[in-house]
Amino acid sequence: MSWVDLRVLEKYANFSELVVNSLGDKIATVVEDEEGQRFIWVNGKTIDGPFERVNFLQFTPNGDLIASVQKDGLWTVWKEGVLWEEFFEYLWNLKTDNSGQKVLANVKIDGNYTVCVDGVPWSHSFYDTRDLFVSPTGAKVATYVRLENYPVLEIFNFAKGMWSLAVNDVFWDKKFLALFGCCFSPKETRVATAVRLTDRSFTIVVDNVCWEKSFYQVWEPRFLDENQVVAPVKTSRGWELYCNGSPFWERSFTQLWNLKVFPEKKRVAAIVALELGKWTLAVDGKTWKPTFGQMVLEPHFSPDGERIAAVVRHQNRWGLVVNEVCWDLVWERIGDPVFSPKGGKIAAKAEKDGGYYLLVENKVLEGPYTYLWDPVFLEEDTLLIRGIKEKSYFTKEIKV
Amino acid sequence: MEGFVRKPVFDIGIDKTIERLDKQKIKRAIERVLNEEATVRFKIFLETCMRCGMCSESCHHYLSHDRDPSYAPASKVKLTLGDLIAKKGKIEKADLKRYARIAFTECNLCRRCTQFCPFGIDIAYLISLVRRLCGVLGVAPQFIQDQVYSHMSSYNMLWFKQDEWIDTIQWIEDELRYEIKNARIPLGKKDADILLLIHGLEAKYMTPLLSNMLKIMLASGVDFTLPDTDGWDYTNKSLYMHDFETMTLVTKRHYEIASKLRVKRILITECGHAYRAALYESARLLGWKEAPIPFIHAVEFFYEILVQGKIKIAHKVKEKATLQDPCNIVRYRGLGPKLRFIVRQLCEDFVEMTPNQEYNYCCSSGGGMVDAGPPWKGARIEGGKVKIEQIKETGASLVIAPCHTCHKGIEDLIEHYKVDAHVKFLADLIAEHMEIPERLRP
Repeated sequence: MSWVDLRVLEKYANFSELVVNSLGDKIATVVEDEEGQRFIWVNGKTIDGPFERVNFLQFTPNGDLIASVQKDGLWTVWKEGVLWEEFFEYLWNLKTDNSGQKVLANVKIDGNYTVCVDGVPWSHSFYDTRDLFVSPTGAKVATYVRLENYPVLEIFNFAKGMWSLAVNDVFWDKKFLALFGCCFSPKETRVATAVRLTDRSFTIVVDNVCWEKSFYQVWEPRFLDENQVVAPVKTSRGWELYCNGSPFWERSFTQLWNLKVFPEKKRVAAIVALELGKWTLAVDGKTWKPTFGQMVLEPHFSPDGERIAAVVRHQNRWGLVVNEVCWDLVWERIGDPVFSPKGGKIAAKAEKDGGYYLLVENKVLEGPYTYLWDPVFLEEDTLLIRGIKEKSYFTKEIKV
Repeated sequence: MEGFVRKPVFDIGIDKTIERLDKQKIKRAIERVLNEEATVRFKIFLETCMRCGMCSESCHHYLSHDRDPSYAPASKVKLTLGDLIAKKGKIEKADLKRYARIAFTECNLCRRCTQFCPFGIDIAYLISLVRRLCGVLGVAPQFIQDQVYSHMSSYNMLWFKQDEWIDTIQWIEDELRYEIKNARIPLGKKDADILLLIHGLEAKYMTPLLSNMLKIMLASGVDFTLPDTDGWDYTNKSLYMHDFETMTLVTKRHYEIASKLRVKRILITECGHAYRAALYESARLLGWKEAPIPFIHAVEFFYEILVQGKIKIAHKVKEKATLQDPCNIVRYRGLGPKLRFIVRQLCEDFVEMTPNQEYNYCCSSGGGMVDAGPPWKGARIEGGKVKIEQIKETGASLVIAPCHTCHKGIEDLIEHYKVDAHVKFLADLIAEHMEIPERLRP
């Protein structure tokens, strides 16, 4: 069990949002002195600084602390006390792969934009880059890039398309009006994205090859396997799920988005609106019975792919729905569902009347606390709680 | 077209685009908009109109043009959709040009006329269909199209880059420290109570206004954040050309950021059309009956923090002040009483325009007219004669306009018609006149 007195932070002029690692034994933030100098603070002590600014402070999945830092007006990456050698005019969208080994960011160099991975900038730079995507092992890194720099008001040139995708320092030759929803295949060999072809037509592009059909509109695609890409598309029937350019599910919906795929079992879950204000999930083409008036957030598969859970909002209260069974809809906010390693249990943090609670299988096990981070399953029956109570950070293991 | 006489105005986005169209494209767009997208109310409204003329006197364009019947709302429908139906869709390019001119520059979609129609016909909806038809064909004022192309790829109206956004907010944070001790503006903070979205202009040309809004947020002590990525600009100018595809893309992004950060509410600064888009137009196109996460306007926020005593007005505005009721927040959403509460807290000498609240006249810049740019400035100045007369009659030297469009529109009217008055946002007035709590004084 960890315990850190957070009252010590009050002696600083400022401190930013607190971040914790997955083991719970480290809590970090950026503190600021009266002169506006920033320092990186971990478990009660400043460990590095001063910097002019520190942004995107975060723990990687393997527990390293990283951030973007500014010195002498220039930016670089700080990783556990070590700075990248190269500094940039700006650096943002700091990310890592799932292991936390590879660190990457969008960077600005001499007025142009590119990507830097582990301190090595790509050889190509662009007029602009937006958003950064990394595949699970870091094998692929992608960003939207602007290949043309027409001045404002040149609407007929804009209509030709200016944007493309760059993957691992190689940019696609096709230019689009816009791109969104970049994703990678399960084995990380392929890349897909939604694109806007013209003012009123959209399609899906996979490795620089467009689907043959175009649509009134599309939303973010997902790979079902290395060769099949599914995406919500809008046709004269409404919103439909297509795969590789052909209908995949039979029925259409008022809305269809937030696809989640479980590749090992080729399962597809999506959020759908059956009619205006009637939201639910559709899994493998079959819609769930409970419906919700306001919102259903992205679906989450259990590790074995058998259970599916999603955060829902109905009559101004939040809750969870799990395999068509609705948890109590009583919360002012609720975190994403967290599955136990075998998928047998689901935990989530939730908040009501200013207090945070730990829920497991729809039962309140702990709380209220001042704050809780998402719970972590250490084993199938052991949960790690990371929270704040009476101005102290604490962790606690509980049996569930 | 008989009775439709206008001074020629050249707009690349309308004229050049129409030149490039062929009949097949126009036919296909008409089929799509009228047969596939328009709902049954389109035909019912058209068939129900008795040409009674009750809507005419309600329209500021009609009144400002010496009651020229071609500016009457029913005439505008007749000259566009009526003409299209009468010709069974077989229209000429000149017809399309007229439709675009009427729909984009002679109707602000203010919906005042609907209140006077004995049948409640939503004329703005019918004009919106004309805009949609034009939009599907890419026919719209060039300046609006530029903003929409920016929204498509960057989710903001000004081609702002991602680093520029973060850098701007952090620069404003530094500047704020001269007035607010240790001011800190969180970006991408999870579990904050409020997600603040701003107008694109506030990040580029109107940063003092944004500073004032942030000063109020800090003084009120609310738990808030701004996005740390695209989606910070709520403007969604695509509403003006009824580009449903961009409208929904942008609105989806706003609610996605809010749900990802798990905020309880989204707050926007002083704007009218974006409020309507997020609560109604875009929300419904996406499948929501209402805003899925509470979406509040600055007027609602200011009212709340004043009522709750989270901020206090230290000294009142002394000059005579009047108030512009923005159509999209007052006529559409009934924020008039809250707006008046704020104004009475702020001003010693407040005088109403006549008429006011839901019957107030549009500023003549709404619905995208101000965004249509320099070619159409004359049109909105002409259409705003009624508004400037209203302002003059109050004798006020200060016009409070809690909407970017109203603000700019009235500023231009005041300049053109040489009225001795100036325009202010609520955020500017509150920030100037509120008490800075002791703990926040540098």
